[in-house]
Amino acid sequence: MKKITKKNIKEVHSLINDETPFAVKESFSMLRTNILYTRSKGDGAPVFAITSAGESSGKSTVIANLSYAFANTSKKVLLIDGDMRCPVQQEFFGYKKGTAGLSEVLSGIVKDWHDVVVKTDNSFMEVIPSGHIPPNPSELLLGPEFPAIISELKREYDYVFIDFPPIGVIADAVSVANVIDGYIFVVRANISDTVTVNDALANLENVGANIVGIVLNDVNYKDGAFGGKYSGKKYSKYSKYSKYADVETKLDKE
Amino acid sequence: MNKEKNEVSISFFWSVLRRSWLVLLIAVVIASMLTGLITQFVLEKKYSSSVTFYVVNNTRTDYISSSYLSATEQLANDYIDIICSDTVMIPLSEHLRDEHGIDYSATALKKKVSTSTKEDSSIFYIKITDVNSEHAYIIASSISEIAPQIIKDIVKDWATQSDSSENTAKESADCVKVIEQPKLDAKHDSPSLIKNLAIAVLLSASGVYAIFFLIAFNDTVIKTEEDIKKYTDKYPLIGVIPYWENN
Repeated sequence: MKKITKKNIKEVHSLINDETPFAVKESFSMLRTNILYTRSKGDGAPVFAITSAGESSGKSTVIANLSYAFANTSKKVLLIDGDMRCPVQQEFFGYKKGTAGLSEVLSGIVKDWHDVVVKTDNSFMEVIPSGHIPPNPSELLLGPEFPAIISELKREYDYVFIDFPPIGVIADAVSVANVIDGYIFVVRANISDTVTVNDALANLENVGANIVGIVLNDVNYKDGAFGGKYSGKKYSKYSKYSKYADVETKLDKE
Repeated sequence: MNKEKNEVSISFFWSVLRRSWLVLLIAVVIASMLTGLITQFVLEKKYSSSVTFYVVNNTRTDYISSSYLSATEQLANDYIDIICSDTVMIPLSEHLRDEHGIDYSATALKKKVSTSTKEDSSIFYIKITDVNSEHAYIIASSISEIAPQIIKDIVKDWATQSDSSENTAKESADCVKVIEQPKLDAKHDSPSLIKNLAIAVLLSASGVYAIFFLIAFNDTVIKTEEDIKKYTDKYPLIGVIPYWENN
């Protein structure tokens, strides 16, 4: 397996499907379980924000698939693409970049947020795109509209996930800490370094953010916890769980 | 997340070795080849020839005491100093020029001489090192011829200044005896290929390992979940997503 470095980093804009390695599917299931019991501040659904220290950490992929994992449990899930500068959620859910979304709602161009909700092929999952890139994304988030919308969303959905830009680059995720029930911090193996991660977490701590935990993304199959324990190969051949790993994955072949 | 902890475990050393073994091996091979070539073709070969002397302590005694041994050791050191001085080197230089046609100054001869003694014994060694094996042999042989007589003359001069009959007895006695004559050795003493190769292997291996160690030690990039656990005890690791490619 090739080593991921900053030079050959490749963005995986894909939702989990039948071809996805078993270990990956299981990892998102475990992630879902680990944040399942995070309680909401006040009434309604918990609101989770995902962020990272730097770019290319894979946070958008993680949040898209995590939302999908929750939706697969028949819970009503909303994913908001809160990155109004470099949105990518359209790559996962098939709508056009620039489709009306959060920026239009916050700026008052669209009055009702229901009008910008995009349905997905999973009936339990819906997406609010980021919208057209506005000139003032930070100010839009700091306005009174955002908390108001979040309050409504908490009543209509079981889980709300927001994809924010990396904190090390843009402070949007930090500025709305008062309405976020939990932050999921993504670190990418072989890319993120402790210095920038430390600084980003310190920024969250300074505003009293509730950091649910850290997700380590893109771990090398041979190096990480998945080096043996959760490999599809092991399950395929020897384990009583082999029926759950009936798809021969690329990892197994390698 | 905590600041980076400057702790190193045994597994860290092993992981550095795992990462560096190929470069280490290549470095060792290259260093060995270079060392071999330099040792064989560049470095000047040196030959040596040694004379072994025995110190005669003429003091009359019924038993060998520690003071007797100590005195004998001291005599050995004294005789070494005499041999390495101009008292012997100048006549040696003249002897070599006159008898063998080899022209070395006393100063140059001194640089070729190395000495050693055997602990708790009356034996000392004079070793001559030269780029010419024959010259080394001839110089050592000349020392074995000249030095005992010069030393004897010095001791005799001292003894005649004393009145004691014991010292008179010393007048005719030898002070040093040659117990092993020098040999002509066709095999060079230095440079030693094996020694140089061993040094090259050790230096190249440790140098490469040290570089990799420093790089790894200062590497702040997070690679595995162990790195996350190492640097934080505040936030739990709630997910580990393996590398996967978009199919």
